[in-house]
Amino acid sequence: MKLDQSKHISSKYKQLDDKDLVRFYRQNGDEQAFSELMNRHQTKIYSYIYSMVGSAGIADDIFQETFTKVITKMDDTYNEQGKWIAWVMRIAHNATIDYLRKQKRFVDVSSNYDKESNTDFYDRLPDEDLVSAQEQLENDEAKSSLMKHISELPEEQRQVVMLRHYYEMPFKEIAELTDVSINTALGRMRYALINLRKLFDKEKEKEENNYAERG
Amino acid sequence: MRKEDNDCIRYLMKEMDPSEELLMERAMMSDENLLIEVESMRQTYSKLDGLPHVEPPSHIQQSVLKQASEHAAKKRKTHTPFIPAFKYAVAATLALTITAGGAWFYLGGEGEEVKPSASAETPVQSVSTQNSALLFGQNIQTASAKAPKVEPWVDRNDILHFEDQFNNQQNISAYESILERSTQKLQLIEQPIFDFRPVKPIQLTGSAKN
Repeated sequence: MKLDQSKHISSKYKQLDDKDLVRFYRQNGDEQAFSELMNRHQTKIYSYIYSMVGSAGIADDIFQETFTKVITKMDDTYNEQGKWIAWVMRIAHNATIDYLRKQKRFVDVSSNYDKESNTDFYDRLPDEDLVSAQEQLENDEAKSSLMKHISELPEEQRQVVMLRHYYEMPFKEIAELTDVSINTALGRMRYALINLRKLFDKEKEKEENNYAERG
Repeated sequence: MRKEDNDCIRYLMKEMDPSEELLMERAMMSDENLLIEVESMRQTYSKLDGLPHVEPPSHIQQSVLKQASEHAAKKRKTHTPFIPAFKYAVAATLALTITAGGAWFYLGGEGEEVKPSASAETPVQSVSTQNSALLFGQNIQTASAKAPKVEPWVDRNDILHFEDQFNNQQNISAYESILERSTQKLQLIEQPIFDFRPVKPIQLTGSAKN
Protein backbone atom coordinates (compact mmCIF):
# COMPACT_ATOMS: atom_id res chain seq x y z
CA MET A 1 0.00 0.00 0.00
CA LYS A 2 1.37 3.37 -0.93
CA LEU A 3 0.81 6.43 1.17
CA ASP A 4 -2.67 7.92 1.16
CA GLN A 5 -1.11 11.28 0.51
CA SER A 6 0.37 9.97 -2.72
CA LYS A 7 -3.01 10.61 -4.34
CA HIS A 8 -2.47 14.29 -3.69
CA ILE A 9 1.14 14.41 -4.72
CA SER A 10 1.47 16.48 -7.82
CA SER A 11 2.77 14.63 -10.85
CA LYS A 12 5.65 17.06 -11.13
CA TYR A 13 7.15 15.59 -7.95
CA LYS A 14 7.19 12.13 -9.49
CA GLN A 15 9.46 13.39 -12.24
CA LEU A 16 11.95 14.98 -9.89
CA ASP A 17 15.18 13.41 -8.71
CA ASP A 18 15.68 12.54 -5.06
CA LYS A 19 18.17 15.38 -4.86
CA ASP A 20 15.57 17.96 -5.92
CA LEU A 21 12.91 16.53 -3.62
CA VAL A 22 15.30 16.70 -0.70
CA ARG A 23 16.16 20.29 -1.56
CA PHE A 24 12.46 21.24 -1.71
CA TYR A 25 11.84 19.74 1.69
CA ARG A 26 14.91 21.22 3.29
CA GLN A 27 14.48 24.72 1.90
CA ASN A 28 10.72 25.16 1.78
CA GLY A 29 9.47 22.45 4.12
CA ASP A 30 7.64 20.96 1.13
CA GLU A 31 5.69 18.03 2.58
CA GLN A 32 4.71 16.63 -0.80
CA ALA A 33 8.38 16.32 -1.70
CA PHE A 34 8.97 14.32 1.46
CA SER A 35 5.91 12.13 0.77
CA GLU A 36 7.26 11.34 -2.67
CA LEU A 37 10.63 10.39 -1.19
CA MET A 38 8.85 8.10 1.26
CA ASN A 39 6.82 6.51 -1.51
CA ARG A 40 9.91 5.76 -3.49
CA HIS A 41 12.02 4.18 -0.79
CA GLN A 42 9.96 3.08 2.18
CA THR A 43 9.38 -0.48 0.95
CA LYS A 44 13.06 -1.17 0.43
CA ILE A 45 14.01 0.34 3.75
CA TYR A 46 11.30 -1.48 5.65
CA SER A 47 11.97 -4.79 3.88
CA TYR A 48 15.65 -4.54 4.73
CA ILE A 49 14.95 -3.83 8.40
CA TYR A 50 12.26 -6.51 8.55
CA SER A 51 14.41 -9.15 6.93
CA MET A 52 17.22 -8.39 9.35
CA VAL A 53 15.23 -8.38 12.59
CA GLY A 54 12.37 -10.68 11.62
CA SER A 55 9.70 -9.03 13.71
CA ALA A 56 7.03 -6.60 12.55
CA GLY A 57 6.86 -4.73 15.84
CA ILE A 58 10.61 -4.25 16.06
CA ALA A 59 10.84 -3.38 12.36
CA ASP A 60 8.14 -0.72 12.92
CA ASP A 61 10.12 0.78 15.78
CA ILE A 62 13.40 0.80 13.87
CA PHE A 63 11.71 2.22 10.77
CA GLN A 64 10.17 5.02 12.83
CA GLU A 65 13.44 5.67 14.63
CA THR A 66 15.23 5.82 11.28
CA PHE A 67 12.87 8.42 9.88
CA THR A 68 12.88 10.47 13.06
CA LYS A 69 16.64 10.76 12.63
CA VAL A 70 16.24 11.46 8.91
CA ILE A 71 13.80 14.30 9.55
CA THR A 72 15.69 15.92 12.41
CA LYS A 73 19.20 15.47 11.08
CA MET A 74 18.62 16.15 7.41
CA ASP A 75 19.46 19.84 7.81
CA ASP A 76 22.69 19.28 9.68
CA THR A 77 24.13 15.93 8.69
CA TYR A 78 23.05 15.19 5.15
CA ASN A 79 25.41 16.39 2.47
CA GLU A 80 23.49 17.03 -0.74
CA GLN A 81 26.36 15.81 -2.85
CA GLY A 82 25.79 12.25 -1.70
CA LYS A 83 22.81 10.04 -2.52
CA TRP A 84 19.96 10.65 -0.11
CA ILE A 85 18.91 7.01 -0.06
CA ALA A 86 22.45 5.88 0.75
CA TRP A 87 22.45 8.28 3.70
CA VAL A 88 19.03 7.04 4.88
CA MET A 89 20.14 3.48 4.40
CA ARG A 90 23.18 4.07 6.57
CA ILE A 91 20.90 5.31 9.36
CA ALA A 92 18.56 2.33 8.94
CA HIS A 93 21.48 -0.07 8.83
CA ASN A 94 23.09 1.38 11.95
CA ALA A 95 19.80 1.29 13.85
CA THR A 96 19.25 -2.32 12.81
CA ILE A 97 22.77 -3.38 13.76
CA ASP A 98 22.46 -1.57 17.09
CA TYR A 99 19.32 -3.55 17.79
CA LEU A 100 20.89 -6.85 16.77
CA ARG A 101 23.95 -6.21 18.86
CA LYS A 102 21.78 -5.45 21.84
CA GLN A 103 19.90 -8.67 21.32
CA LYS A 104 23.10 -10.66 20.76
CA ARG A 105 21.25 -13.21 18.80
CA PHE A 106 20.08 -13.91 15.31
CA VAL A 107 16.39 -14.05 14.62
CA ASP A 108 14.85 -16.88 12.71
CA VAL A 109 12.56 -14.92 10.42
CA SER A 110 10.94 -17.96 8.90
CA SER A 111 9.42 -19.06 12.14
CA ASN A 112 8.78 -15.66 13.58
CA TYR A 113 5.35 -15.53 14.97
CA ASP A 114 4.92 -11.94 15.97
CA LYS A 115 3.31 -11.87 19.38
CA GLU A 116 2.48 -8.18 19.15
CA SER A 117 0.43 -8.35 15.98
CA ASN A 118 -0.45 -12.05 16.00
CA THR A 119 0.95 -12.37 12.52
CA ASP A 120 4.01 -13.86 10.98
CA PHE A 121 6.28 -12.56 8.23
CA TYR A 122 4.11 -13.69 5.33
CA ASP A 123 0.89 -12.25 6.68
CA ARG A 124 2.42 -8.89 5.91
CA LEU A 125 3.04 -9.60 2.26
CA PRO A 126 0.71 -8.04 -0.32
CA ASP A 127 -2.13 -10.19 -1.65
CA GLU A 128 -1.55 -11.78 -4.99
CA ASP A 129 -5.07 -12.29 -6.25
CA LEU A 130 -4.04 -13.72 -9.56
CA VAL A 131 -2.10 -16.58 -8.06
CA SER A 132 -4.05 -19.67 -7.22
CA ALA A 133 -4.19 -20.93 -3.67
CA GLN A 134 -1.90 -23.85 -4.47
CA GLU A 135 0.62 -21.62 -6.21
CA GLN A 136 0.39 -19.19 -3.34
CA LEU A 137 1.12 -21.98 -0.90
CA GLU A 138 4.07 -23.14 -2.96
CA ASN A 139 5.38 -19.58 -3.28
CA ASP A 140 5.02 -19.07 0.43
CA GLU A 141 6.85 -22.30 1.11
CA ALA A 142 9.66 -21.29 -1.22
CA LYS A 143 9.89 -17.86 0.36
CA SER A 144 9.71 -19.35 3.79
CA SER A 145 12.51 -21.71 2.93
CA LEU A 146 14.59 -18.90 1.45
CA MET A 147 14.09 -16.67 4.48
CA LYS A 148 14.91 -19.56 6.78
CA HIS A 149 18.19 -20.17 5.00
CA ILE A 150 19.04 -16.48 4.91
CA SER A 151 18.39 -16.21 8.63
CA GLU A 152 20.92 -18.99 9.14
CA LEU A 153 23.68 -16.96 7.52
CA PRO A 154 26.12 -15.07 9.74
CA GLU A 155 25.00 -11.50 10.32
CA GLU A 156 27.82 -9.96 8.23
CA GLN A 157 26.97 -12.13 5.22
CA ARG A 158 23.26 -11.49 5.61
CA GLN A 159 23.84 -7.72 5.66
CA VAL A 160 25.72 -7.82 2.37
CA VAL A 161 23.07 -10.02 0.71
CA MET A 162 20.23 -7.77 1.86
CA LEU A 163 21.95 -4.49 0.98
CA ARG A 164 22.73 -5.84 -2.46
CA HIS A 165 19.29 -7.27 -3.00
CA TYR A 166 17.11 -4.44 -1.74
CA TYR A 167 19.27 -1.50 -2.81
CA GLU A 168 21.35 -2.93 -5.63
CA MET A 169 24.10 -1.16 -3.78
CA PRO A 170 27.54 -1.24 -5.40
CA PHE A 171 30.08 -3.17 -3.36
CA LYS A 172 32.05 0.00 -2.84
CA GLU A 173 29.10 1.50 -0.99
CA ILE A 174 28.39 -1.73 0.89
CA ALA A 175 32.03 -1.75 1.99
CA GLU A 176 31.78 1.85 3.20
CA LEU A 177 28.51 1.21 5.00
CA THR A 178 29.78 -1.86 6.79
CA ASP A 179 33.26 -0.43 7.42
CA VAL A 180 35.19 -3.12 5.59
CA SER A 181 37.27 -3.27 2.42
CA ILE A 182 35.66 -4.01 -0.96
CA ASN A 183 37.39 -7.37 -1.07
CA THR A 184 35.95 -8.29 2.32
CA ALA A 185 32.45 -7.28 1.18
CA LEU A 186 32.85 -9.32 -2.01
CA GLY A 187 34.17 -12.23 0.01
CA ARG A 188 31.20 -12.09 2.36
CA MET A 189 28.84 -12.20 -0.63
CA ARG A 190 30.72 -15.14 -2.05
CA TYR A 191 30.58 -17.07 1.20
CA ALA A 192 26.92 -16.17 1.62
CA LEU A 193 26.12 -17.70 -1.77
CA ILE A 194 28.25 -20.77 -1.05
CA ASN A 195 26.50 -21.25 2.32
CA LEU A 196 23.07 -20.73 0.77
CA ARG A 197 23.84 -23.30 -1.90
CA LYS A 198 24.82 -25.81 0.77
CA LEU A 199 21.62 -25.11 2.71
CA PHE A 200 19.47 -25.51 -0.41
CA ASP A 201 21.28 -28.74 -1.28
CA LYS A 202 20.76 -30.08 2.23
CA GLU A 203 17.08 -29.19 2.08
CA LYS A 204 16.70 -30.84 -1.29
CA GLU A 205 18.42 -33.97 -0.03
CA LYS A 206 16.12 -34.06 2.98
CA GLU A 207 13.03 -33.71 0.78
CA GLU A 208 14.24 -36.52 -1.45
CA ASN A 209 14.80 -38.73 1.56
CA ASN A 210 11.31 -37.96 2.86
CA TYR A 211 9.84 -38.72 -0.55
CA ALA A 212 11.74 -42.00 -0.73
CA GLU A 213 10.57 -43.00 2.75
CA ARG A 214 6.94 -42.31 1.80
CA GLY A 215 7.33 -44.10 -1.53
CA MET B 1 41.18 -14.73 0.44
CA ARG B 2 42.72 -14.28 -2.96
CA LYS B 3 41.53 -11.46 -5.17
CA GLU B 4 40.75 -13.96 -7.91
CA ASP B 5 38.23 -15.67 -5.62
CA ASN B 6 36.10 -12.54 -5.71
CA ASP B 7 36.17 -12.26 -9.47
CA CYS B 8 33.23 -14.66 -9.76
CA ILE B 9 31.14 -12.33 -7.62
CA ARG B 10 32.32 -9.22 -9.43
CA TYR B 11 31.44 -10.91 -12.71
CA LEU B 12 28.02 -12.04 -11.49
CA MET B 13 27.18 -8.64 -10.01
CA LYS B 14 28.36 -6.87 -13.14
CA GLU B 15 31.01 -4.93 -11.29
CA MET B 16 33.73 -5.59 -13.83
CA ASP B 17 35.05 -3.41 -16.60
CA PRO B 18 34.23 -4.67 -20.11
CA SER B 19 37.87 -5.67 -20.57
CA GLU B 20 37.85 -7.59 -17.28
CA GLU B 21 34.60 -9.27 -18.26
CA LEU B 22 36.14 -10.42 -21.50
CA LEU B 23 39.13 -11.87 -19.67
CA MET B 24 36.81 -13.59 -17.19
CA GLU B 25 34.76 -15.14 -19.99
CA ARG B 26 37.93 -16.39 -21.65
CA ALA B 27 39.06 -17.86 -18.34
CA MET B 28 35.71 -19.63 -17.93
CA MET B 29 35.98 -21.08 -21.41
CA SER B 30 39.34 -22.57 -20.60
CA ASP B 31 38.61 -23.59 -16.98
CA GLU B 32 35.58 -25.82 -16.55
CA ASN B 33 35.64 -25.63 -12.74
CA LEU B 34 35.50 -21.86 -12.83
CA LEU B 35 32.54 -22.03 -15.21
CA ILE B 36 30.72 -24.47 -12.91
CA GLU B 37 31.39 -22.26 -9.88
CA VAL B 38 30.09 -19.11 -11.60
CA GLU B 39 26.96 -20.86 -12.89
CA SER B 40 26.29 -22.41 -9.51
CA MET B 41 26.54 -19.00 -7.85
CA ARG B 42 24.32 -17.45 -10.49
CA GLN B 43 21.67 -20.07 -9.77
CA THR B 44 21.83 -19.48 -6.03
CA TYR B 45 21.80 -15.70 -6.47
CA SER B 46 18.72 -15.89 -8.71
CA LYS B 47 16.82 -17.51 -5.83
CA LEU B 48 17.17 -14.24 -3.90
CA ASP B 49 14.63 -12.73 -6.30
CA GLY B 50 12.09 -14.51 -4.14
CA LEU B 51 12.87 -12.26 -1.19
CA PRO B 52 9.72 -10.40 -0.21
CA HIS B 53 9.16 -6.66 -0.42
CA VAL B 54 7.21 -5.57 2.62
CA GLU B 55 5.68 -2.16 3.15
CA PRO B 56 5.51 -0.50 6.52
CA PRO B 57 2.06 -0.41 8.15
CA SER B 58 -0.03 2.61 7.17
CA HIS B 59 -0.14 4.02 10.70
CA ILE B 60 3.66 4.11 10.74
CA GLN B 61 3.70 5.84 7.37
CA GLN B 62 1.21 8.43 8.57
CA SER B 63 3.15 8.93 11.77
CA VAL B 64 6.36 9.60 9.86
CA LEU B 65 4.62 12.01 7.51
CA LYS B 66 3.06 13.84 10.42
CA GLN B 67 6.46 14.16 12.03
CA ALA B 68 7.93 15.50 8.79
CA SER B 69 5.07 17.96 8.50
CA GLU B 70 5.49 19.20 12.08
CA HIS B 71 9.22 19.58 11.60
CA ALA B 72 8.65 21.57 8.40
CA ALA B 73 6.13 23.83 10.16
CA LYS B 74 8.53 24.40 13.05
CA LYS B 75 11.27 25.28 10.62
CA ARG B 76 9.03 27.72 8.79
CA LYS B 77 8.26 29.45 12.10
CA THR B 78 11.88 29.85 13.08
CA HIS B 79 12.82 31.10 9.62
CA THR B 80 10.32 33.98 9.35
CA PRO B 81 10.74 35.88 6.11
CA PHE B 82 12.58 39.20 6.28
CA ILE B 83 10.05 42.04 6.24
CA PRO B 84 11.09 44.75 3.73
CA ALA B 85 10.60 47.52 6.34
CA PHE B 86 13.24 45.80 8.48
CA LYS B 87 15.60 45.86 5.56
CA TYR B 88 15.40 49.66 5.35
CA ALA B 89 15.75 50.01 9.11
CA VAL B 90 18.83 47.83 9.11
CA ALA B 91 20.28 49.72 6.12
CA ALA B 92 19.66 53.08 7.82
CA THR B 93 21.22 51.89 11.07
CA LEU B 94 24.24 50.59 9.23
CA ALA B 95 24.65 53.85 7.29
CA LEU B 96 24.37 55.88 10.49
CA THR B 97 26.87 53.66 12.26
CA ILE B 98 29.36 53.91 9.43
CA THR B 99 28.99 57.71 9.22
CA ALA B 100 29.38 58.15 12.97
CA GLY B 101 32.34 55.81 13.01
CA GLY B 102 33.98 57.65 10.14
CA ALA B 103 33.46 61.04 11.79
CA TRP B 104 34.86 59.81 15.07
CA PHE B 105 37.87 58.36 13.33
CA TYR B 106 38.47 61.58 11.36
CA LEU B 107 38.20 63.84 14.41
CA GLY B 108 40.33 61.60 16.53
CA GLY B 109 43.03 61.54 13.84
CA GLU B 110 43.06 65.35 13.47
CA GLY B 111 43.46 65.86 17.20
CA GLU B 112 46.40 63.51 17.33
CA GLU B 113 48.19 65.27 14.51
CA VAL B 114 48.84 68.39 16.63
CA LYS B 115 50.37 66.50 19.53
CA PRO B 116 53.95 65.98 18.28
CA SER B 117 56.45 68.42 19.81
CA ALA B 118 57.99 71.29 17.89
CA SER B 119 61.34 69.59 17.75
CA ALA B 120 59.85 66.64 15.90
CA GLU B 121 58.24 68.76 13.21
CA THR B 122 59.86 69.48 9.92
CA PRO B 123 60.58 73.15 9.24
CA VAL B 124 57.84 73.36 6.67
CA GLN B 125 55.32 71.92 9.10
CA SER B 126 56.46 74.30 11.82
CA VAL B 127 56.07 77.33 9.68
CA SER B 128 52.70 76.27 8.40
CA THR B 129 51.46 75.63 11.90
CA GLN B 130 52.71 78.94 13.13
CA ASN B 131 51.32 80.81 10.19
CA SER B 132 48.00 79.21 10.90
CA ALA B 133 48.39 80.31 14.47
CA LEU B 134 48.90 83.87 13.36
CA LEU B 135 45.84 83.71 11.19
CA PHE B 136 43.71 82.45 14.04
CA GLY B 137 45.51 84.20 16.83
CA GLN B 138 42.43 84.75 18.88
CA ASN B 139 41.63 81.06 19.08
CA ILE B 140 45.18 80.19 19.82
CA GLN B 141 45.25 82.47 22.81
CA THR B 142 42.44 80.52 24.33
CA ALA B 143 44.19 77.26 23.65
CA SER B 144 47.59 78.52 24.74
CA ALA B 145 46.29 79.67 28.10
CA LYS B 146 46.29 76.05 29.08
CA ALA B 147 49.78 75.36 27.66
CA PRO B 148 52.25 75.45 30.54
CA LYS B 149 55.49 75.75 28.60
CA VAL B 150 56.21 77.63 25.39
CA GLU B 151 59.42 77.47 23.46
CA PRO B 152 60.40 80.02 20.82
CA TRP B 153 60.60 78.93 17.26
CA VAL B 154 63.99 79.25 15.68
CA ASP B 155 64.52 79.30 11.97
CA ARG B 156 67.49 76.95 12.02
CA ASN B 157 67.32 76.28 8.32
CA ASP B 158 67.22 79.92 7.28
CA ILE B 159 63.85 79.70 5.79
CA LEU B 160 63.20 83.28 6.46
CA HIS B 161 65.91 85.14 4.62
CA PHE B 162 65.79 88.89 4.21
CA GLU B 163 69.36 89.56 3.30
CA ASP B 164 68.51 92.09 0.61
CA GLN B 165 66.57 94.29 2.98
CA PHE B 166 69.16 94.44 5.72
CA ASN B 167 72.52 95.21 4.23
CA ASN B 168 74.36 97.13 6.88
CA GLN B 169 75.21 96.09 10.43
CA GLN B 170 72.63 98.37 12.04
CA ASN B 171 69.84 97.01 9.93
CA ILE B 172 70.93 93.49 10.64
CA SER B 173 70.75 94.07 14.36
CA ALA B 174 67.31 95.68 13.89
CA TYR B 175 66.19 92.69 11.85
CA GLU B 176 67.40 90.28 14.49
CA SER B 177 65.63 92.18 17.22
CA ILE B 178 62.40 92.15 15.16
CA LEU B 179 62.81 88.46 14.49
CA GLU B 180 63.44 87.70 18.13
CA ARG B 181 60.44 89.67 19.23
CA SER B 182 58.26 88.10 16.65
CA THR B 183 59.29 84.57 17.52
CA GLN B 184 58.59 85.20 21.17
CA LYS B 185 54.98 85.46 20.29
CA LEU B 186 54.94 82.01 18.73
CA GLN B 187 53.43 79.34 20.89
CA LEU B 188 53.01 75.60 20.63
CA ILE B 189 49.51 74.48 19.82
CA GLU B 190 48.22 71.85 22.19
CA GLN B 191 44.49 71.91 21.51
CA PRO B 192 43.75 73.91 18.41
CA ILE B 193 40.13 74.88 17.94
CA PHE B 194 40.40 75.65 14.28
CA ASP B 195 41.28 72.10 13.26
CA PHE B 196 37.68 71.36 12.29
CA ARG B 197 38.20 73.15 9.04
CA PRO B 198 40.71 71.88 6.53
CA VAL B 199 43.94 73.85 6.68
CA LYS B 200 46.39 73.73 3.85
CA PRO B 201 49.97 74.17 4.98
CA ILE B 202 51.64 77.34 3.75
CA GLN B 203 55.03 76.48 2.45
CA LEU B 204 57.66 79.13 2.73
CA THR B 205 60.55 78.90 0.37
CA GLY B 206 63.80 80.72 0.17
CA SER B 207 67.28 80.40 -1.16
CA ALA B 208 70.02 79.15 1.11
CA LYS B 209 72.36 81.75 2.61
CA ASN B 210 75.67 81.93 0.76
